[in-house]
Amino acid sequence: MDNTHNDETLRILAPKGHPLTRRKFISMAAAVGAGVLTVGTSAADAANATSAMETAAKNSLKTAGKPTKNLYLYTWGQYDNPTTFTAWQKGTGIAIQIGSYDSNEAMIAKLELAKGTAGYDIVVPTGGYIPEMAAKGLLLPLTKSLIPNFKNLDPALLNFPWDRGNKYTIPKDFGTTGFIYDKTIITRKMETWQDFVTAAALPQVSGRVSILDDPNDVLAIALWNEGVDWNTLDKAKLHTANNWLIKNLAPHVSNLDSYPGGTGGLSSGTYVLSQAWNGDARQALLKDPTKFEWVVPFPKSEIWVDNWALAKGAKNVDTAHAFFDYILDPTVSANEMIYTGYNTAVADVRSYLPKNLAQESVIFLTKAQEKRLVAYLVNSTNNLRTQLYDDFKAAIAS
Amino acid sequence: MLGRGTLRSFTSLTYAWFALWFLAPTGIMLIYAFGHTASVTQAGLVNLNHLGFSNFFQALRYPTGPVLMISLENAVLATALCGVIAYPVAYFIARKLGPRTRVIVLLLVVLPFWTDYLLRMLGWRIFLSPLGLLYGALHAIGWHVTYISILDTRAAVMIGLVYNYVPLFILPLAVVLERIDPLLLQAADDLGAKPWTIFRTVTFPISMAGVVAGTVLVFVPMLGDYVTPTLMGGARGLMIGSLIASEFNEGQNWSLGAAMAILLIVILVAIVVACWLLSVGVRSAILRTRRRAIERDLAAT
Repeated sequence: MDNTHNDETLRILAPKGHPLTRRKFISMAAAVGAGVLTVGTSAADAANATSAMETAAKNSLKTAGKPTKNLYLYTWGQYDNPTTFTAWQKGTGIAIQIGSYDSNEAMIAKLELAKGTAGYDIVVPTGGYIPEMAAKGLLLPLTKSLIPNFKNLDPALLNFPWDRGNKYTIPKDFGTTGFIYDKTIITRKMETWQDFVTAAALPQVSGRVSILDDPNDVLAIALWNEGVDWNTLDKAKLHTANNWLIKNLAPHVSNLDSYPGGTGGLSSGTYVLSQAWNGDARQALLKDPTKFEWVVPFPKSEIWVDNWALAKGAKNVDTAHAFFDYILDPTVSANEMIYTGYNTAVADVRSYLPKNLAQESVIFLTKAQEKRLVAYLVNSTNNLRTQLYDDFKAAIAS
Repeated sequence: MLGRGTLRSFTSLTYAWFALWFLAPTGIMLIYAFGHTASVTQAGLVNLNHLGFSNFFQALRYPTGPVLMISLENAVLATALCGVIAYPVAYFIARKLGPRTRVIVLLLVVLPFWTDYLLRMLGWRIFLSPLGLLYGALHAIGWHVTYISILDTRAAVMIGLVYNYVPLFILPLAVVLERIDPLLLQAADDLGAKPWTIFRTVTFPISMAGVVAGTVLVFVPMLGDYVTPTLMGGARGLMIGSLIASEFNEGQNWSLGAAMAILLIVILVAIVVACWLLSVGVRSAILRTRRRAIERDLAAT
């Protein structure tokens, strides 16, 4: 009983039902002191890391052309380790001002309305939104020669279809979409998205199922299952997929929740089956390692990547490049991972992390898992996909 | 003392403020509703080159109708529940309490508003969650349910709506009830009316002004409420506000979202005007029959 209550108090700090994103749970975890990866780091290690980070910050300035006195960052709320910023400030003497948003759409709308006068130097879009932002002229191209640490990036995480040759963006971190379930209640085999939908209809599960509050992630369940390209422009196929979801999944869904782990929906028993991002699912697993099981489903699942980018109208371009160089330093990258619980794109970041992280297998994907991951790019069917999502939501409600 | 001129300029300042922060945004939404959203790769949020009604037609497509009906049902039922709960409470506050306790009790009624709305709704979630406080309480009294399944349903939305809006019904009603002239009630009593008759023929008709004010104050924001259904109802408690929000957010389709919002305003205004006309009609009909009855009585004597 006591345990349940502790989990429940977590909920209060997490504003549910807002247009939340996969980053938000981190703020909650930080606020209640449920340190994500802090286990195993000693005070001495931390001090070493801090001085290494300050050195990295100093070094980044050497290659950065003409740095200015300020840097303006527009990013997801609580999506970076605060010590990443304090070490930068100490090492370079350059102050970072941070504004935050909670959806790509909100960020894009703000940049568009300001027409280059928003005053931000750096923004953090998700992969699929980059072509849209580039086409709208909201991004500036990068100067790679100002970012020597670019070489630290894992080549497997470069050159995505949304930004060939990484003209505009540097991968920040990445993850996948799968599902997590209560194995004390669901005992059947759970490997595919079909298993997810079948299990949702079980009498003890129906009505305790959450899915991500994102049109494309929901539609993906049917598209992947039917072997249809997630990025298809074929409207008939999208309609068919949505009808399948309305028939087979809608009757059993109780909530659209992008944070079933972080906001405590799983731990409190509100959900026993949830579609989730790996970092968020890990939050539930850290609390109840024996109760839950995480699955990266067959036949396909998502890879999403959040990226550093330069905003149109940036006034501190050279400083921003120095910051990119700094953030790609493995020590800094490890520091970020300790906070967010998401894998960064820096190749050997693992050797800079504390040993034996809890639920490590949820953070680091296996080669076999990576093979079945696909990416989504916002395309001309976006409006239709939103309407289909509304149809799906209406079907759940009626 | 303020001069009349100063007062007038203050008043006009209020109107200007209102115009700026209410009418201007609504006006912008109205214009956007007639524009069109370009493809996601074109610059600009809403294109105003050629204006038209296409957004409104699109806004009327499925599932707006069914979801609007659900929202209307929720709002009507929750408003009625608010009225049923608010009336005895307001009556008690206005008529049974002394001036000092009345102030304290009224303060208690508005006290929840001092806590953030989101926190209060999350408190309800904790209370109602499948294995939460209510579950624990039921187990403690020996009622062993497997789990509580109220959360993320329409019933939970109803609880949230009534809980949140009932103070807005109590306040105007309590004010009206308090201002009823005791001499009127005294007169009815002197003429031999029983308490129930006094309530039916004097108190209740006068208090209708408060009931109408409470109904409008509660019903209008309820219909467009976005936070309560999202927090309490999950996916099953969907209301129209959520559909509008999804066009602005995931859809990046501001012109369609604007058209849906304008439609909602039009529907609300139509409902309020219709109710007002109805109440005026009913009121004059009642007065007419009463006057006729009195005239008949006079003629008889």
